[in-house]
Amino acid sequence: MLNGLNVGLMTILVGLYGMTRTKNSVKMIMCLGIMGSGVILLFVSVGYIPGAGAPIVGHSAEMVDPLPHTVMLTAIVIDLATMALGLALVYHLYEEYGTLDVTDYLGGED
Amino acid sequence: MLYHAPMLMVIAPLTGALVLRISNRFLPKQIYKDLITFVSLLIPVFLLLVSLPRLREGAMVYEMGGWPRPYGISLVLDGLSSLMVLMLGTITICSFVYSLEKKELIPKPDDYYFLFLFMTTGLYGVFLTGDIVNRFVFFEITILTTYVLITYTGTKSSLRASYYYLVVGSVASVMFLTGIGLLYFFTGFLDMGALSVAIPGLSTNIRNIIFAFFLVAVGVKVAIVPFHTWLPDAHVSAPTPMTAVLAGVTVKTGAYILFKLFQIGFDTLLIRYLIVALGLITALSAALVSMKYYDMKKILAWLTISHMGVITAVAALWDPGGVSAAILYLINHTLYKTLLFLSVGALIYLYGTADIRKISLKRSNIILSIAGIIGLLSMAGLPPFNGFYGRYFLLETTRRYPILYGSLVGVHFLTALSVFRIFRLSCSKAKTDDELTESIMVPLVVLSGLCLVGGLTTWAFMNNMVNPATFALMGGYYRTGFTWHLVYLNVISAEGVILILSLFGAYFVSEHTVDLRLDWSEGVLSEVSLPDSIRYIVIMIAVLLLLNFL
Repeated sequence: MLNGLNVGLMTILVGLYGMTRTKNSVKMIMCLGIMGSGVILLFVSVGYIPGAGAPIVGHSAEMVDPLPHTVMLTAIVIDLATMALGLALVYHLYEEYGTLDVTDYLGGED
Repeated sequence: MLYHAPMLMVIAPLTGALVLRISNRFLPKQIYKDLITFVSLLIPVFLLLVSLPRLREGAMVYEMGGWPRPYGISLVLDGLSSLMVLMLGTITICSFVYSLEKKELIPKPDDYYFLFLFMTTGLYGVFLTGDIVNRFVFFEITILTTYVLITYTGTKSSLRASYYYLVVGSVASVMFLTGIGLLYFFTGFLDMGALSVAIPGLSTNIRNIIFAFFLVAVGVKVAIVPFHTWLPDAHVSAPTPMTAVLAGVTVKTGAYILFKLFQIGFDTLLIRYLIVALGLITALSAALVSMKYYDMKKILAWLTISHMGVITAVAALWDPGGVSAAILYLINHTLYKTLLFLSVGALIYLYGTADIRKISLKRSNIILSIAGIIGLLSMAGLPPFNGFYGRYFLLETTRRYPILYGSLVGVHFLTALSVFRIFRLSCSKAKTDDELTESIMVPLVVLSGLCLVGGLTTWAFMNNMVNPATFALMGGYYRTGFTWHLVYLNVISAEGVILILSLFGAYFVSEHTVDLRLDWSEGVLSEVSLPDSIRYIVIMIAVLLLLNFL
C-alpha cells in the first residue's frame, strides 16, 4: 500500500541502508538528511485526513490534525542544526586528516 | 511561587545562558561571568530543596500555559524526577567549580559556559517534562551542545569522537522520533500520562514493533553493547569537567527514559528479556575489555558501559526490588564515577598524561590521592563506601534468577580486578611540583565525602529518596522502614560475604594477571568503525522484529 506512512518508513530505511554502505563522511550526513525527510513525511501523513482542509476554525467542516505538523516544525529545525554542525565537523576533520574516508579516522593519535 | 518551581528549574539555566551572552557589553570581567553561571546552576537546586516538603504530599504537575493535560505540555516533579534533579544539580555544580580552572578550556571559556548552561537546561527538561515529544526536543538540546563541548580540547581525536557521536546520536534521534510517530498513529496521544493508559490496550506485537525503534534510541543513550561504540572515544577526548557530566548524568538520561518507557506500557516479556540479555552481555564484556587499556580515562569509560549494563539489566526485571536497586546503584555510580573522572583530570593536570604507568596515585597531592582511592574503592565495592550498598541490593533482589545473580558477581569480580590493576600499575616514581588550585580540590573533597556519607546513610537514602522514586514509577515499594542496622547487617549477610570474598579474590588474582590482550575484541567491541556501528543498529532492529514474529 503506497501511502505517506509507508513511504516515510521506507525513506528512513533507505537512509539507514546508505549509512551502512558508504564510508564518505559527507555522504553520511546526506543520509542523515534523507532519514530526517522520511520522518517528516511519516509524521505529516499521520496527521492527514483525506478530503480535510487546513486547521483553521471556520475554514472547512473537517480539519487535518495539526499536532504532528507542529512537531515537525521543531524536527526540521533540529535536522538543520544537526546537519550544519555535522558538515562543520567534516570540514575540520578534512583539514586535520586530509581525507573524507571515515575508516581512516580510526586509530589516529594526536 | 512554589507552584512554578518545576518551570523555573528549566528556565533558570536558560536565562543564565542568555544573560551571559549579553553580559559581554556591560559586565566584561570574568568574575561576573563565573558568578552568573554559578547562580543559574544553584537556583534549580535551591528550588528543589524548597519544594521537597510539598513533594511529600504527591507529585507537582505544572501545566505550561495553562493548557490541561493531555492536550498541553506538562512538567512533572515526582519522586523519581526530584531524585534525578538533585543528582543533576550536584554534578553540574561540581563540574562547574572544577571548570573554573581554565587551563583545559581552550579557546574561549565564555562559550564553554554558554553551551554548558544550555546543556544543563536540556538535562533538566529531559528529567522534568511529562510529554514525550518535549522529552525528545530537550534531549536534542542536550546532545547538540554535547557534540560541540566534546571538541573543546581542540585535539584531532576529539573532532573524530564528536563526529562519530553526532552520526550515531542522530540516527538514534531519528529512530526515537519514528517511534513517537508510530505511537501517535496508534494511540493519538503524546502526553506520558495519557499514553500509560492507552498503550496497555495495544496488542503485544504492535508494542514490540514500536519498541524496536525506541530500543535504538535508548540503547545509544545508555550505551548497551551493540550501541556503545561512540562512548569510549567521546569520554576520553572531552574536557574533564565535561566528561564528568557525560558519565555522571547524560548516560543516565537514557536509563531514565527506559524506566519511563517501561512505565507507560512497553513492558512485554520479549522486550524485558531482550534488555536483560543485552545488559548482561554489556556488563561482562565491557568490564573485560576495560582491562586491555592503559589510559585511565578509557578504563573508566569502559567500566561506565559495564555498570550501565548492570543497571538496565536489573531494572528490566521490572519488579519493585529490581527498580529500587537499579535507582540506588544509578545514584551511587553517578557519585563515584564523577569523582573518578575529576580525579583523573587532576592527575592529567599534574603529570600531563592519563597513562596509568606514568602516574602515581599514592605519591601525588595528598587530597587527590585520598579522593582517587576513595573513588576506586567505592567502584570496587568495599563496604563503608556507597558502591558496596548498591551492589548488595542488586544481588539481594536477583536471588530468584541464578544466571543474573552469577553474572552480577562476575561483573563485581571483574570490576574489582580492573581497579586493583590500576593500583598495581600506577606506582610511577615521577615527581611533580605543581600545586592543585582550590577549584579542583573542592569538588573532589565534596564528592568523596558524598561517597562515604552516602554509603553510611544508605538506610535514610532508601527510605526518603529511593522508595518515593520507586513508588512514582511502579506504584509499589520493595521494602519500607530501613533502619541504621542496615550499615552492618549488609556486611554479614550472604550477599555481603560473597561480595567481600570476591573482592579479596580479585586482589590476589590481580598479582598475576596485569595485562589482557583480548585480540578478539578489536573491531568487534572496541575501535568499531562508523559504518559497522550503524550495521549493529540495523541488526538489532531486525533481531527484535524477527523475535517478535517467530
